Amino acid sequence: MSDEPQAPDGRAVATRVPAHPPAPGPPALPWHRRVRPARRRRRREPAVWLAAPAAFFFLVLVGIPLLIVAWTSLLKIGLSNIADWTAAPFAGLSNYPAALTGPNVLGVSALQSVWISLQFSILATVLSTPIALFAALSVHHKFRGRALLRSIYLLPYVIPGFVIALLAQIGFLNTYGPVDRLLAAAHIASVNTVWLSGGAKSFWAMTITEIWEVWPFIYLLLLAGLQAIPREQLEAASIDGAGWWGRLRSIVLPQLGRMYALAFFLSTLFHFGNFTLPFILFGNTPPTSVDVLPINIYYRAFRGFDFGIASATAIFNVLLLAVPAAVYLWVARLRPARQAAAAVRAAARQAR
Amino acid sequence: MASSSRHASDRLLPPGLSRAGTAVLLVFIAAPLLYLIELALSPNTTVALGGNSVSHLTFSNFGTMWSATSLLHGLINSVIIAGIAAVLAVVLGAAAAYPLARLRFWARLPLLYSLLGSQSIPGLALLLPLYIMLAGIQGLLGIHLIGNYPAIIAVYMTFGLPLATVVCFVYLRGMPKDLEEAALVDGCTRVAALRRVVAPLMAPAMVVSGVFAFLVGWNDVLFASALTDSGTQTVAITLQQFGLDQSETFGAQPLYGDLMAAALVSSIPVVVLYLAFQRYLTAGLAAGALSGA
Repeated sequence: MSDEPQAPDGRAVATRVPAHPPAPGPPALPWHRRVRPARRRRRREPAVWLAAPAAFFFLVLVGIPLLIVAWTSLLKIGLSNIADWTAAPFAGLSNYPAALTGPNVLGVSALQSVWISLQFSILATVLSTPIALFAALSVHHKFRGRALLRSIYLLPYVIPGFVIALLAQIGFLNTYGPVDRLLAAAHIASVNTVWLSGGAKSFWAMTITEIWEVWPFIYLLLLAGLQAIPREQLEAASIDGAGWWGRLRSIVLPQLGRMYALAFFLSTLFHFGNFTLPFILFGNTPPTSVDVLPINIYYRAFRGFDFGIASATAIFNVLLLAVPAAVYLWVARLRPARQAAAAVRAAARQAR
Repeated sequence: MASSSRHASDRLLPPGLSRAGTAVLLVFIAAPLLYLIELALSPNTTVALGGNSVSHLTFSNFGTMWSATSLLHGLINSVIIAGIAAVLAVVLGAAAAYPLARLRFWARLPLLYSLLGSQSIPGLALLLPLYIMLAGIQGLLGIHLIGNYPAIIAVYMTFGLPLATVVCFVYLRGMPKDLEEAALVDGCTRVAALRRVVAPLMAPAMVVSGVFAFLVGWNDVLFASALTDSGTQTVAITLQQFGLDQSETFGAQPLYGDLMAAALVSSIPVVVLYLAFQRYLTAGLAAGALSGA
């Protein structure tokens, strides 16, 4: 742990102070002469301690819990001994095979849940893409009402997930729900099509709701990507006689590729972690076909009260996401945050 | 939809396709939302029977929902819990952002990377040990933590912290140092310069972080479902439970009208916050994607 400037992030973090050598002492700033005598011995910058409260809470509520869950994944913890879990019997690694292949109270193992989660998150991302792409392309140019349209496009994303899950629960009711009534009116399906009691229909009800709710996320990133395409290129292509399809294919889509890769990745991760939708949409007992990984772990712990096996599943989940998370840190670095800050700054300037 | 000819090449789709597609998309977005509003304005009986109720819309649900659920209680709890957590997250996050952006110390990069990396830790990998940890402390000290305000507030505060810190950090790095250095030369202490000069300039970033941190607490179901009880439950849990009661009425009439009216009311603060800060938020929404606890 040194304060080397050429840390793995290189460009992202260290560029601001490339001129400073990694000297052990603080930089020579004028205020430094006024450091109080008590601190003189360490020659420490008192402002460094401003980061201490954040670091403390982060350590206690994120760092230590991660160590604890790694430890409890090796213990046998049930409802009876959770209050003195430090004395719980050691289970070794046996919780892991029990988690991966053994059924939870819903009858689904972690491996089955991973498969369901993967299908759910990738399908939701892929099927959101055409909607998001069309929306981004259609509001890129200036026209009257564009601001309103952009606001409306984000509504599904800003309405709380629990509200949308409750709405979907009524929407997919058999016989009385609007989905069944519409399908029956169009002679596509029986009015008594049961959506939320299991099987592929439940999976699709969940996936369709998720798409409706989260497609604006990809749209947002694609819109940001469009804004980065130089207008001159599009103008030049127009002058050369390229139509909208030609410009789209040869200029716009290729340059959106990188941003879409990021959007695909982030959106899939986002879907992968969604707990609220299945938890609320399917009531007390989610059918096996929608038992995504977060639901699997929750039911292991808070319905089956097997905290050891649940911890093992959670660690498995962390490891599963560790590789994509590392890739994300490496590829995206601070990009989303940088964009957010840039937008905030631009908006603040406009508001002034 | 007139586009000036100067920016004609900004138009990426032909007008006809654009208009037709936009109309379809608007129906796709609006239909569920209008249905939500219709349900909220319909008597419980018409919803349960699937009747078309546009002809007898009523505001009565907005009166009866308060007694059908503990909605007010949930709303107050959500405001207290998400509000305090957001304020704390912004204060601690902005404070941490300053040394991270302006000073060099050994913990700087480890801290930054932990904050960024934490955003991809699955929520359950934190909820389980937090629950076990709190249960252990309760057993040891004989005090009550699970179900009380401090535990859930501290948890939401910590989850709002990474984004608050990172947004303030990046914002601060883009800000010239001249002003604060001038204040320092003029005899301000570092902390005074921070409070009088830096904090006001950082206000926009702090507002955005605060809104995000507030939304973390307002929208969360996972942590609240395990770490609150009937006295401290947030509005998300109030509605989740109320919804559960309606889907298991076994013959009794489900109160869907009340449920949707309550759901509509509980999304109003979020939508209002969004509309008020929209300009600041759109890019941040993307940045916040991974912070979903």
